[in-house]
Amino acid sequence: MAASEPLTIESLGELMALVGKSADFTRITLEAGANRITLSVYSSMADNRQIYEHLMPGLQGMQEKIRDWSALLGRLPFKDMSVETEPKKIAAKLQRGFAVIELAILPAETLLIDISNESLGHRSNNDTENEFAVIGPKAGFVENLEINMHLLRQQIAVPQLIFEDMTLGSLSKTKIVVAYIEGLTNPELVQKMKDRLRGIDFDVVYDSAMLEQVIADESNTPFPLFLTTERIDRISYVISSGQVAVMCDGSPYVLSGPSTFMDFFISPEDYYLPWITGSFFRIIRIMSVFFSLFASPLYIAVLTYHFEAIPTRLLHPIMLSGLHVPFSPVMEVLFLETTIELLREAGARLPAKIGQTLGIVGGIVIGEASVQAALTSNILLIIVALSALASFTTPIFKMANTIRVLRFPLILLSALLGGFGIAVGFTLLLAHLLRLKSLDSPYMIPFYPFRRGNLADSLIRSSYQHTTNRTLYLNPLRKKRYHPNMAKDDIDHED
Amino acid sequence: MRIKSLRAALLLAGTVLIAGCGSDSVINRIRVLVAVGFDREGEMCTGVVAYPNYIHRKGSLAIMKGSGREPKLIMEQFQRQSPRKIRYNKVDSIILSRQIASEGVTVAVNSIERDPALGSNVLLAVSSCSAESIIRSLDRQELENTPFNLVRQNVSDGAVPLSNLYFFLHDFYSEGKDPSMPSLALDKQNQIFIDGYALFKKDRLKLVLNLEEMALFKMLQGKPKIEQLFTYKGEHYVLTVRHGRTRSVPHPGTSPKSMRYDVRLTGSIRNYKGNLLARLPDESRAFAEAIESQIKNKLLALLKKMQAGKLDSLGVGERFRSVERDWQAAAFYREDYPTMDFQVNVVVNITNSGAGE
Repeated sequence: MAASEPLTIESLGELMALVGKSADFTRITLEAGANRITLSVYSSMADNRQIYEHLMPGLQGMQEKIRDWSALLGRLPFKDMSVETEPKKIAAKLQRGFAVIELAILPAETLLIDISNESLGHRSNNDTENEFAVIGPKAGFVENLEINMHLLRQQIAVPQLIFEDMTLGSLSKTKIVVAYIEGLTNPELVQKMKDRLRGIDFDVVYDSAMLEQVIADESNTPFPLFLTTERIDRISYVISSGQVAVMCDGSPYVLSGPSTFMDFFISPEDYYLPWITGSFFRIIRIMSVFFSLFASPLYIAVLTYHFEAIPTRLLHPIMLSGLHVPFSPVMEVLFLETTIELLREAGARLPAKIGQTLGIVGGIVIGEASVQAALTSNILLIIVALSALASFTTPIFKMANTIRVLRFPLILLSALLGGFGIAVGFTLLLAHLLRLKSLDSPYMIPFYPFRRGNLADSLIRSSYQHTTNRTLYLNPLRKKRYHPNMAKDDIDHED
Repeated sequence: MRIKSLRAALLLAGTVLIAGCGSDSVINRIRVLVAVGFDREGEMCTGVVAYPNYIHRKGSLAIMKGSGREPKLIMEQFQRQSPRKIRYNKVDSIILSRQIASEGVTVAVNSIERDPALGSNVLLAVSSCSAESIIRSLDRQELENTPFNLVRQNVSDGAVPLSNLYFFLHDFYSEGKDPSMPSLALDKQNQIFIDGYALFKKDRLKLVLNLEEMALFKMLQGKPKIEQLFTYKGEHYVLTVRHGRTRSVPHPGTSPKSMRYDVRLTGSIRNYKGNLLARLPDESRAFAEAIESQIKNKLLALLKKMQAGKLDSLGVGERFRSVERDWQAAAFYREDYPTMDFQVNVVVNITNSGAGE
């Protein structure tokens, strides 16, 4: 039991007294002389049709004849039935929508029947909402763990795909599933992941994103250390590469690790396009990161300290656009960057259509008005808008957020120290990145430590002829993904 | 935890303290000088500068004038005239009057080279008229029209040899080559134009080449891309050099020492009276020989002229130093250079004779 476990239920009677206080708790008693049958269930969690159409008629029909559980186990038409005596386990299953059957003649035991309504409250649409891709599958994970396992098993159709479940959260009792491929994924990684998850003492686990922060190697970092994605193809790819995935009930995002810095800039689309096109877009994405990070700080540094670096031909438009702006470049930039962040934050909280309108209003009206009012210059408006746009090219939303946040310290450093400040900021950032680890694996692999063998799928996405091996830092038990000219699943066919 | 906080506080304090060392020059709060001209008026040195005026003139150039005993003092005077900080980091043209250039540019060069604010890709030029009139001609002109752009355009596409502050300082301090720079003048419409090429002996102006000599000078430097006038059977023609190459070969073993220039030119002919070569294809070799002979004579005359003036602006000394282990500048220029034998081989390949009338 976790240290902060609030519930200590000693007996079944105590449990029933406790749950009986809830309005959604139903307790039905069927009297038949000495053989009293009691059915307890959370109506909010159970499928009421199953109770009244199958369970109740079944129990009523056999009421007289029941002497032990075997009579019920053999005749009731439910897939998951078990006899349980421990109050804690009974409580856990009751919470998940199981019906608890008590027999007066067998007071120490209960029969637990799964009549949970798992689809209740879940959306039917499983299109990806945030990680959209033009080419490739549109389906993504949903909030339902069973469906997510189903979706993943559809993609990796081998019996070696293992789902190991555990329960986390002293209050939420969230079901967590660790997914990996037996015989491929390094068992050390699986064990590490399970150990970290087991070590969690948390009250409510809402989402895999929370797990990611709790199990991270380093909590004082703006960088996400584990990839979380709603795309099925991305998770099936990382699992088949030798990573471990963690699914969390109630979360459409699946966590995987150990992740590297480069993983966050890879889009599944890269693999659906010809390698030249895919590599081009990947490089654009990586360049966007640099642009997004350094465009505004460079603007400040150059306009405040290093005006001689401006080509003479560019001096004219810069001077004219910022001539009547009364603020220093850093104030201009902070004003516009904050405006962009406000728009983004407001847009994210509003319904999609209003969000779009807000974007247009913010982008055009506020931007144009700011320039007209001489609060900012045209050129800066373009730079800030482009750097915001560039930050959105990062496929993983969390990394995009990190990049946007990191701009601010760089902006302040450039305002304080100019180009030297940017150099200092970049050095500190690089040093921090080099120190980071994800599940004890270096975050900056394959650049540091340098791994030539993994470069084939990092900055560029080489052709499938050159990506036949799995990423070596994961130490997969099977190194070969496929043979270039053999389109066969190597798990079944490799020696 | 406490140590971490202490480190963070120290880092922050250090950053803020270092920030105090920075000298900010916010772009829209400074006056950016782009061209400077220096003249001599008795004991005093006058300086005229051009800067883009964005407040009243939407970026067209305006002029300021000051005087002082040396260039630095003139800058201080400009500072007193301006409501905004004066910054000369973007100065791309420095014009010196012929008087200053003849009397010696050591003071100017010293103050320029010691100033880290100035880059090395700055045009140094002498002016046939006063430097002030050159700079004043920029009044109300666009930033594009500075002498720097004028010379740069002619260096890349015309007959002006490559020169800037970097090359000047290199030649000034090195042994084996004399410095040189373009010469500017004003025409009747008050437009700046290049009227020749000024050759220096150390810090003093000694000789100004005319436009034709300047083109030949560039040809000897190795990058001929010019139009050359010549005559054939009493008629005038123009050779347009498309590309060419000049190789200089020093012969230290001969007595007197000799220097050979191999010039290879490929180009086309434009004539004033129709397409002669198209009518007379058999004459093309004779045509080429006429050009070769005339260019050779002109090049030899130029080399002799510089030799007579004891000027080694082409870097003959440098070429000999590269092949002689115990080369001594003083001895070379005292004994060898004045008697040196120059040989020029010109090979012209005429690819076409251009369009007809």
